Amino acid sequence: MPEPSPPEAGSSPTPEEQAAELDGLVLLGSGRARAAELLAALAGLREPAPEVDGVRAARAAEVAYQGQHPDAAQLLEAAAAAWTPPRQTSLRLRAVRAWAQAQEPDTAAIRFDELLDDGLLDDGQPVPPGEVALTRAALGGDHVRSELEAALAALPSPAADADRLDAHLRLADLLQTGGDTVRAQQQLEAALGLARRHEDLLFIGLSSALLGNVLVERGRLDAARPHLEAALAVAWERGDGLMVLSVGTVLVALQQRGGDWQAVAVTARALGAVARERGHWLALADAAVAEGVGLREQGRLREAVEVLVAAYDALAEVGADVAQRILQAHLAEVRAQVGKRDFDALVEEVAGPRTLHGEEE
Amino acid sequence: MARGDRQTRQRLEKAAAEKGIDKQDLQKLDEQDLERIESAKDIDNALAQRLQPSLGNQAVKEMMANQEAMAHEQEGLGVDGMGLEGGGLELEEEEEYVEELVEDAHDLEEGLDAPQMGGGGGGGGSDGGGGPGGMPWEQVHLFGGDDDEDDTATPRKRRTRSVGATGNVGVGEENRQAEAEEEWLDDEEVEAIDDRLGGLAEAAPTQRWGDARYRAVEAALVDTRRLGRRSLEPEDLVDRTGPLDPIGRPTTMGRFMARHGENLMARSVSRLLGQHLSALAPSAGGHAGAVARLGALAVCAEALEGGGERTDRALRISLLRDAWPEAVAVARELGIEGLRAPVVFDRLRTRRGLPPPPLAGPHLPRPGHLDVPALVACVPLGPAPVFPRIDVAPAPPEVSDDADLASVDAILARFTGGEDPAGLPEDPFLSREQLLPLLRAVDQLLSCFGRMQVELAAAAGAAYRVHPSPVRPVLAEVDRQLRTLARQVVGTARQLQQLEGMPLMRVRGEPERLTERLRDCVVQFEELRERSLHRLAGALDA
Repeated sequence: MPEPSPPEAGSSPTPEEQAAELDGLVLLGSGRARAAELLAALAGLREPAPEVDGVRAARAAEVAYQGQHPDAAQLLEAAAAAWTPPRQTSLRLRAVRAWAQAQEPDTAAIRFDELLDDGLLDDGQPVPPGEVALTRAALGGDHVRSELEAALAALPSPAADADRLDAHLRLADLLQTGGDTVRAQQQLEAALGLARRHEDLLFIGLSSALLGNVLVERGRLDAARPHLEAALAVAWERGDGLMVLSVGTVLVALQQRGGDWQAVAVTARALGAVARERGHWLALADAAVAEGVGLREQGRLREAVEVLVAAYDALAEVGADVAQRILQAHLAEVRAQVGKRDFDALVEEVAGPRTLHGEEE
Repeated sequence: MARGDRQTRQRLEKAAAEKGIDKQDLQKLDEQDLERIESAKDIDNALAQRLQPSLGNQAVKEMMANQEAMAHEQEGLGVDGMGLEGGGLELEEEEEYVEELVEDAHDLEEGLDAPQMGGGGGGGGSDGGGGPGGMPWEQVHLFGGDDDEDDTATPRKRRTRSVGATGNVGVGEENRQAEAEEEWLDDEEVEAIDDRLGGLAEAAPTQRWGDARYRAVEAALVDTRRLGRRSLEPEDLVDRTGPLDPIGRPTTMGRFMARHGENLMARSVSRLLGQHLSALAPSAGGHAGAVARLGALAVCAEALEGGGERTDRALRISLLRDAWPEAVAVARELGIEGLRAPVVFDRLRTRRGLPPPPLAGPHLPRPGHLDVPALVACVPLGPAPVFPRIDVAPAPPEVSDDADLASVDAILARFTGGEDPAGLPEDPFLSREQLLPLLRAVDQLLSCFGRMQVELAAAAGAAYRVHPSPVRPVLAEVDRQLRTLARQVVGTARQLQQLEGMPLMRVRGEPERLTERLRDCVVQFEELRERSLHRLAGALDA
């Protein structure tokens, strides 16, 4: 993989050099970060040379496409106007994929037909390898799987690794939908390999999470756990609260199954903290139940009740009555297991004297 | 008449007189009708039709209005999408209501619940209800049914079926349900916690922010007693599919999102949610723990998919499994005369006490990617018929395998049938038998049109319950287009019928041409349905 080289001390790179560097970047990991820097630098130029502006527009549109920006398709089409084949073809094919991604299948199909009508995909024309198959796959139909496989066989590495990674993930999803979890796992492992090679945290996290989930589907819970732990760590590092909850909720179930109560406590607390931040009250209740179960299993009933009562009160503060009901039910379940007298006394001690909501003190 | 009977009749007459029914008119009614009048319920269209000549329209209308008012008073159906937040039914009542509707629909679909209209047969005619045992839209005898023995077959016996509280149907389900109920927490256990922790916070919808905006799963989490159980076994998580079941609802959401979601991670989480519950909910966490986990994951899946209120709205619509049976029940009430999407929708709306629909501009926005699948999830779309290729070649004469019999048949034919081996064969003609498969398909297609009126009314009703939107103009347009299409089909079918008995030499390619035209109508019908669903979904954001 070509690593972006920092400019030599004392000599600032010319716009042409910056454009050349930008054009050679793989939009994954540090390559994507460097691309953002270079795009910002080139965007500040007053009267850039047409070649420089062409590269800038094309890469900016490709970055927008990768980030699923709603205007990505239009940006790609506008950028394509400044190029000749095969770059123009590549940008227009990507624009078709962007239309499909934006839930505009009719427009995507029309744009693809226009490419055919313009003769850009005719035999003998310079067509970027694998991109036609990738685009046909995005258009849907009965042959998505074979198109994705064809695209993966043809897309060059490392130049097209971002597209390869996307194709692996989509193929895995398709295989999983069809029940072929074994091959789905292989595709996800390939995607994870690519993401690791480019040290792309976003895709390392996503691929690990998907891989963990497919292993859960396959019943290989022990094998799933390290992948989910890795995904959780990445999500935590990136500050992606939704991924923390989505991955952590599955992970904590596996940790509970394995009786790893220490790990359960750590994950449950992380989940509880993120759930509060995001207003995900059911996840907050789930985290409290998970932590409480772990504590009870270790014979720490009082602490378990403290955790549950604290969560109950936190939910009461924000008016999350539905999540409160779940904790109520869970406490009633625990009461049925532990015995009424002991449990009631313990809850009264932990909760202190209270009045019912809506009652006068 | 026995003394007891006379007393009964006097009592019933008194009750009827109180309802403003003339005594002379009562002579024309039988005991059973009077009893139904007295109880002021069960006055359905069938009875209304029978009463109308005796009592007049006004009296019947008043009785039906009374009945409707009573039904509303008793049912108090909620306004909100889940029927739970509008101060309506308790959860169990709502479930029972849904079950009844679902069961009625099953029975109606299977033709098990034979209606009383038309006195049970008599063939053809306008019985107003689509024939015995059928749905109101079924065109049993319009074109292809007269000679069909199957049409007059006696209705099948009602199959005994058990329906669980969660809406599941299956062998032994009642026993399982009873066992489950034994496992539920009792009120005392819940109250013990409630007393010690100070009760629940008052729901504050204005405080919904972040992931709390996704509330589709919450409709199943409103009864604390059903959220917990004394124990959790892996099998407790199996076959929980009811839309108001605390396990079934998130599971159903998972299956929907796994199929129709776009986000890879949302689809992955949803697949787990829909299929791999035992891994997610270890028994140590108990039933309430499982409920919390599945509910949390359902919200995660929605949040991953994105779209906020639109995504949540689509899921809530997809879970309204009572929309179809309710619409079928309304269609039955209305009879074939009222089988128009806007009329069915209006009745559905007023039954639930929902406000009149707002007006819409001429252009409806593009629907969200989950909206159309959500409408399809709550309304099972009927299949369109296939028009077979017409077989115009004359059927070869049947010849017995037995040589002696064959000889006897030939001799008999020679002397009694006017067949002369030396004579020229008769000019073959287009027989009724040849046309019948096509005419039956015409009947099916016309039934499909009627069914589509109810399908779209049901879909609009479901959408409207969750989000009042300008759906009525869409239904009015559908009704207009379907009627135009129906006229086209009927016209073509009549032309086809007129070919019956004509020599094949004369009709030439006409049957094939007309069949092709009918096939074209099927395509138009399917396109219209697809387009209408998109427009209904688009109206949600108008």
